[in-house]
Amino acid sequence: MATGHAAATTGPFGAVGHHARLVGLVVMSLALAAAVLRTLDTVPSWLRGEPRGLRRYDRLEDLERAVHTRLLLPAYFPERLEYPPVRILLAPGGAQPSAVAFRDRMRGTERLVVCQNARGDAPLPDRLLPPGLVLQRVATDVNGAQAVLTRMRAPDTREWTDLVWVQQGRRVALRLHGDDAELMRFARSLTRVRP
Amino acid sequence: MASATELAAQAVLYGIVSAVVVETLIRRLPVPAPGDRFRYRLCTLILPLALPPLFAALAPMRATEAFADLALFSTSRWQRLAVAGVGVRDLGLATLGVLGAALVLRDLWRDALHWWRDRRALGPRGAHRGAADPGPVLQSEVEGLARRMGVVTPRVLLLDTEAAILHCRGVRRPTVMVARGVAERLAPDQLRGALAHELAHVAHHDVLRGWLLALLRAVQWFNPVAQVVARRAALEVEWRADAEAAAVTAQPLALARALLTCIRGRDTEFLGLLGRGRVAALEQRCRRLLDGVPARQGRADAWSLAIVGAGLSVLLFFVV
Repeated sequence: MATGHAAATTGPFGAVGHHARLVGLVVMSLALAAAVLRTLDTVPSWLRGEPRGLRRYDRLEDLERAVHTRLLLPAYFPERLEYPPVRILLAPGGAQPSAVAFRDRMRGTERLVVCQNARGDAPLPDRLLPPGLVLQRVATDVNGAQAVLTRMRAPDTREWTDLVWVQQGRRVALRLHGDDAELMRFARSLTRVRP
Repeated sequence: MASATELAAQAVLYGIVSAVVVETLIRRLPVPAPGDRFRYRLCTLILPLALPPLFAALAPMRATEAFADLALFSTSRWQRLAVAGVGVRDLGLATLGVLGAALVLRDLWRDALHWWRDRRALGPRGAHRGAADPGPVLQSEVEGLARRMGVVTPRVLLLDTEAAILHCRGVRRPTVMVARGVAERLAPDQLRGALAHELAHVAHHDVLRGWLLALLRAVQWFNPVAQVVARRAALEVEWRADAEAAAVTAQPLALARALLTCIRGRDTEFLGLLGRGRVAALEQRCRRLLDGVPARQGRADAWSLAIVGAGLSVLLFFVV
């Protein structure tokens, strides 16, 4: 009975053939395992309703600890904005872009989104600030820095305004569902001090 | 630095991934020799223990959140998903921990019951002190078999009891313990087969392997996959000894009969449900003996194990 087995495993190419077959099988099974693991890894994000790759934090302090810097937040913080933020997201990438969203206390909808790179002026990812239909784009300035103010409309006809500029070496964008004067007030008050 | 919970979660996950990959290889290659399967399964048991601390020491950047974005699978992502305020990772780890501990306790309880029965059968003086010289017939039988199997003749002790005790013990000085009840109950060809089985254990240092498996099981008590793999590896050791004994004596049927006689004499009734698993395993061993499964080592050489180990290590590096 042992002889049959020896003949079956030796084959025409001997040990080399066996090892080649083994390598092939190992690569195949590892690739399959990697695919399964990758799929399983997307489940928590999917269950939490987050786009893949974005990491959600419960507290601003946790995000700041992750990016090793304090975030720029508006010192002007009217009563109608709810604190703490409803959404704190970090996208992958060397610039460590993040988005912090505040809700309107009365309407219960998102009113202000502060999006910024932890370092560098690389463009902010669309995943953090989904684009809409551009209605108007004008150049302006924030505390002496050049800025672009863009009015946009979503497919559901909701309108908002984005203001993008570079402050302290970081690209910053504010998105407000409100008027331009208030947006500029938020922008000019942006600081590392907590509201 | 990774916490103990993270390391434990990684160890469990590594155990599951390693077991799935190794079982796939065993079936697809295929690996028919029990000795080879034992080696591959040992890989499954050692890698989950060795890799988490090794990776933590050699690649501390794996603990950063930036690496989690690169990783194939991150347990911390599951931890952020909470059920009733508890992270899913911790919840899963606790559930698997209970399952793993139950498997360990089940086998511990069964072995303790066996030990207690044997102890009672041998009387208050214990096994070694109740042992006697095996006599010329048994001694010469063992010496003849040892010569044919190329093994140094181990010490043989005859236990003065009716209980069906036949096993080998001792890591440094292997000893075959034969109960008088077994020697009298088995026909000569059956006894020869049973002794050859024990000598096969001696030849492969299976007592040491048994302790190694027990140690790996104890350290990974929280990992049910490791418990199942270790039990399966222990079974492979028995299958190999059976196959070698059958090859040496050329009488597999006699060995199967000897196994059945021993288990009948063993009285597994007192084990209740726990005994059923042992009887089922014995039935499987008898079937394999009658089917004529190969004993000889196949091709699970150092290169094969290195290929599997390296492949798994690369994959698991990206599982945090």
